[in-house]
Amino acid sequence: MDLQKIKKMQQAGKILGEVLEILVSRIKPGITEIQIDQLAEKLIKERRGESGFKKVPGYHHTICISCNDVVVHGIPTERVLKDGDVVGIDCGVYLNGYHTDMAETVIVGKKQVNTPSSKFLEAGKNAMFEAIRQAKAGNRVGDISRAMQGVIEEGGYSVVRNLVGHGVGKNLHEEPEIPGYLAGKIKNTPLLKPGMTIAIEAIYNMGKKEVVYTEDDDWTIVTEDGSISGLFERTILITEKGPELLTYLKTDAL
Amino acid sequence: MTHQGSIELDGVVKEVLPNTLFRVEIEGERMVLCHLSGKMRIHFIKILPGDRVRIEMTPYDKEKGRIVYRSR
Repeated sequence: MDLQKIKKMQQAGKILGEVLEILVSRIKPGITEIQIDQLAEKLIKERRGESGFKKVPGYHHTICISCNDVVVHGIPTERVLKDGDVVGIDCGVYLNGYHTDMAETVIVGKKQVNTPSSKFLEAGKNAMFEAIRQAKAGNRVGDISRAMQGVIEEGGYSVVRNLVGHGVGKNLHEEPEIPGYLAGKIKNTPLLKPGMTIAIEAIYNMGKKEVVYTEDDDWTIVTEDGSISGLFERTILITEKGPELLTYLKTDAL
Repeated sequence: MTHQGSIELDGVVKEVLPNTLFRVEIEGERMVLCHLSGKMRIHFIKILPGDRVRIEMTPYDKEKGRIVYRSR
């Protein structure tokens, strides 16, 4: 294992976790998407990190924000968040040459219990952690995919096929791909080894799995049937003993 | 961003090959070998068989193309 790399990614991940924790706590009715983006930029700078997403050619924001039917790549706008919106925040921190990647989805405003939206988000978070538990040396990428797909489809939701998790390190996207669904035999998927750093993402829809680009900006991807979409993501390290979360919220429990 | 002299066509991905190469069927049931245009994204976007794509070709090589947009 490359201890230098791991140490640097742990530092970057700690910053990202802290920042996302604050961002999530600030999501309230009345705040605009662009305000959250600016706050993210400020918080990362205060911690001497850099925005990972600004390094992506053509993208000029610190976060991607996905409201309701937006799946990923939502560009922050002046839109005001309102009670009941389902909002996903995706953020990346670049520090000392390494990327980390993380996302969380929440409901704006009043706490909801046992509503369609709250059940939907619970399922996604469970799916992500179930998948992360499979991320141990000796298992394969397919074990992660199968665990994720199992929980999401059990809830009656669908896993988006065109977007997948990925390795993360010196680049934001590295090998291997980590799909949230199983397309073939597990034994044909890559083997997980100690020292690998991967971003495990649950990207799923309340309705059908199909997604489309919106016409206007060539970035934003929405659900084809207009149903709500959820996004949860953590960067993890695979060790001999099991998975270690490199990006985490205080409430995260493996 | 179309280069001068290049043609844009719509097609359907038939097969995913290694090294981000794809076999795309265009009108007239012609098969074209395509690679992905270099646009990086924040999310890892996977192109799957059955996806409708727009491809860019030069008039000089009718066998190869470049996927510039995923339409579906």
